Amino acid sequence: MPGQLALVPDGPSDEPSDEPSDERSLARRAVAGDETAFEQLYHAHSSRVFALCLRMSGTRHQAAELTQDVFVHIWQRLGTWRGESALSSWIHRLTVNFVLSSVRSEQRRLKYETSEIGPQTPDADESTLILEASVKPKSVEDAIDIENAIAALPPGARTVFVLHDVEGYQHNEIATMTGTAEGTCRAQLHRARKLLMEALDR
Amino acid sequence: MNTDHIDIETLSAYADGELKTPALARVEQHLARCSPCAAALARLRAAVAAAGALPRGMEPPPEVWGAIRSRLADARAAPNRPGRWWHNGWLAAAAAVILVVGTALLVPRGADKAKGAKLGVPQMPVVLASVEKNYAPTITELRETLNSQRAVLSPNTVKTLDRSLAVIDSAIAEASAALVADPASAALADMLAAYYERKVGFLKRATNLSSSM
Repeated sequence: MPGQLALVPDGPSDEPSDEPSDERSLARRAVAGDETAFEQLYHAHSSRVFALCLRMSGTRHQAAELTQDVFVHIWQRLGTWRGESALSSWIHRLTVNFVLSSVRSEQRRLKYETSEIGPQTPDADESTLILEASVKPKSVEDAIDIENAIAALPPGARTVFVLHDVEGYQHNEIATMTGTAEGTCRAQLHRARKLLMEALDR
Repeated sequence: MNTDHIDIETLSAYADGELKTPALARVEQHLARCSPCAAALARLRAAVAAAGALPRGMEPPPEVWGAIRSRLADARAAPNRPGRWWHNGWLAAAAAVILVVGTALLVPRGADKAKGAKLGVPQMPVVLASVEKNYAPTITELRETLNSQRAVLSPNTVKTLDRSLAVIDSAIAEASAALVADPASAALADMLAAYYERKVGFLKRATNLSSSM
């Protein structure tokens, strides 16, 4: 029996909105320009956004920049959140789309890079040990190994792996978000897992 | 000894239930008699389960909020600095390109498209104007800083920076043109804002690079 890999999506599908009224109120105040309210929303959602940016970009430096960009973007777009989905789902989806757009833009830029600056691959120091000591999963060592193996994946494979195996998106959703064929997503995922296993076995 | 093992990619497809007969039967038969492949499948499943169980959140560096607050202040200050960016030839040129492309797309090409349209009246979508307005002051400021620091950079670096900026600008122009054609598209608005964000981020990195030299 094949036995599907059982992963529980946490965030990708649009959850019905059961937003605490205080968060709705914070969002309304932030839309009206209240920076204190926005700061509270930042503290409530930044760890989730940063983790996603970190796993999709592979380095803490890029993740910190992307997190800044994402929250400035949220500030500008918060007025379009209509409360039909949970704010956390809306922010998650916006973050994924934003990072994917950034990756596409970065890939276009890299095509034109000369050897003087060179391709912006993750620094060796940054791509390793991206997990902070303050994070305490069940097995810290295993988690660090997996985080480092994810960070070392090539960008395309890393994106699909993070979206599918970490974030729980389905292939059809990833295909739509990345603008690629579903079959390509599947192939990227299997390749990513192969590279990940090779890295973990080393 | 069985040397004809199943590759990890096939095991991965099997684990996801993607294999169909006869490949499925072949893999199942092989797994039943090949303990290394069965062990590899177990390791793969464990790794994927571990990836799915990774912590959902990680605290960003503390300075991130400060940087965001500073950028929000820049965005809020934008209306108080009207017209500055129009004095910058480079940005004015980029805006002109966007307006020309946008205008061309707005002019109806046939009778069907003319229905209900205001013929020949170019209108910049509100969201496009809003996005440009939000980013223009910051971009102008960074651009001015970078221009003042060009002397310390090598000609090759300057050339690379200009080329990279041209690529981002071309992406901005494309997204702007698409947004003019489809003003209601939230995805295009997001994409345009993302390109502007990349431009701000790139200019910041470039100014940091030159100021550290």
